[in-house]
Amino acid sequence: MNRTSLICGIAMLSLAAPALAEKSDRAFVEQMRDQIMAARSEPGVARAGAAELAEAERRLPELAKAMDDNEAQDARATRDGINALIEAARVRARLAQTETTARPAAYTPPPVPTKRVKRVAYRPAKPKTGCTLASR
Amino acid sequence: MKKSKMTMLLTTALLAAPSTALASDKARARDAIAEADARIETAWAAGAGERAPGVQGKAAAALDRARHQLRKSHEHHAYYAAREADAYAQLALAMAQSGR
Repeated sequence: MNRTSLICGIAMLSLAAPALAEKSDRAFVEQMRDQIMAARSEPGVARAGAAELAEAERRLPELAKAMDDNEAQDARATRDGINALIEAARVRARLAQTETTARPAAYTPPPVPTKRVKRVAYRPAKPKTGCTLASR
Repeated sequence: MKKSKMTMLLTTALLAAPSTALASDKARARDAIAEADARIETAWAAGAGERAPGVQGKAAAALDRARHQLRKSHEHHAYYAAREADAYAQLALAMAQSGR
């Protein structure tokens, strides 16, 4: 009885182990994808490091394949490569930000105020009583 | 007669398939190494040796590893190592350009 349950347990574990490994592989790839997305959401990185981030994203299937093949060395190399590309994107963003702040601001003339003319109908002034040239 | 000819053709195709795959793996690894080499050279020219020596060193080491793996006919390892070298070279290039 005990032996049977032990054999059953081992058999179940051996069946579940590859599935669990596959799940953790996928989780790791998703984690790397999240890291790329996080870098993309940082200010200026999506724009200045677009090429590097796209390249990092293209390497995700390679990472998944290396992990599926249980090639730890290849998976490590791909992971390091992706991290380097994310860092390169950040460096490019910092460089772009420095260039923008260092550049002198271009002269922009102040806005010309528009003259507002109030149009009113002509009305002759009222003659003042008791104050005429003749009365002086 | 016709059947034997077909069998022969099929056998030839089956025998040729793995060698073709191996050749394409080797070519892929060679291409990746050439690409990484060119990028490392570009990074050197941009001054990565002075401004990002650590990263440039990592790129060179990964490229050496890729060449070594290719010599040992480990095309897959060579390809992945070359890709790593390429990524480090991109980082070194960006750091060199940011240090200007």
